[in-house]
Amino acid sequence: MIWEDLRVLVVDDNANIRRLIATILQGVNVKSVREAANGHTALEILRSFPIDLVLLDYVMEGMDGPAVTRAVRGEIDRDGRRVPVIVVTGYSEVARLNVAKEAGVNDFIAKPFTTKTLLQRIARALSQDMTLKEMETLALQRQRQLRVGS
Amino acid sequence: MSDKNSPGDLKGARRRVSWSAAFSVGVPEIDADHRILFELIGQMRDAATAFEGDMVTGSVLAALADYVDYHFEREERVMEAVGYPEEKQHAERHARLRKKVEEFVRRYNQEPSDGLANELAEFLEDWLNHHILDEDMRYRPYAENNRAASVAASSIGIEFFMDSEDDAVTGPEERPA
Repeated sequence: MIWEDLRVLVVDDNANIRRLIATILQGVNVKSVREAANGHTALEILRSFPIDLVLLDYVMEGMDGPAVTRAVRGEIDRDGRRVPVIVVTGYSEVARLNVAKEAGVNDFIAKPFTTKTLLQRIARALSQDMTLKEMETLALQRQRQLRVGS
Repeated sequence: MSDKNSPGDLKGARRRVSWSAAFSVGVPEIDADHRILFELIGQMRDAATAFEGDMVTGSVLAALADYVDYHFEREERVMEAVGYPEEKQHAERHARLRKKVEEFVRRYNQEPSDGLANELAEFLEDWLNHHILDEDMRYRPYAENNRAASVAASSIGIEFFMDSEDDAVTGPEERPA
């Protein structure tokens, strides 16, 4: 996975959390981080720009995290490619998380979170959702890197 | 450059320090780390008055601790690669700061408070400001325009955060109601 090329969407009604996640990602060279303060804006962005991963708050005015995820699964996912969605939430009751899981969320991160947790969960979600074509591309890139390094 | 951003100027009210060219140590990757650290310190100050302040403060504090570790590792690799003669003493200062941050995190986790978060923000801002200008600048002549410094600085990346299991696991299976 090439983190520099990753295109991330951060959806949270808390501007401080959006700013923090964007800073953490910037710190590991992720160049493209878009932000949305609510679900409707998030979907507009997802319709307009290619996004590799969504970090999504659970509780928001209007559309909540599961509602946004259902819209992503119904409208944004294409050709067997599921956009990985990670819910970042301060509410980790099992019932609530199960609703999100049924909506199609890949993983959960509890607030407050560590940088290590955030980045490890992103890496895991991306590797789970890689399509065969992406895995082939990555394998070819690695082969090329090995050849350059040898 | 505005007064607000003048390096070394922390007089009076807690003026925020942000990165400016005066802080450049001649290694772009390290300069980028310093920018991130100043940004996180600023976020720490803002966290006290933020919506869902506890969650924000806890997350920013964890990010600061993680990023301090990450940055120090990079800087120590660079100092070693360029044969900086004071590397050992510099790394010892890093070790002392790491301990101090760990202590803040431990105290905060035991008893979260905005006062403690602000105390850490002020302490780190002072520390970083003076550490860059007084200590980091001393390796600049060794590292600037030095390919070995550039290679060493780029040798640390995302894998730094992947090398051990995170300990803040949550999820339906892992956290009972």
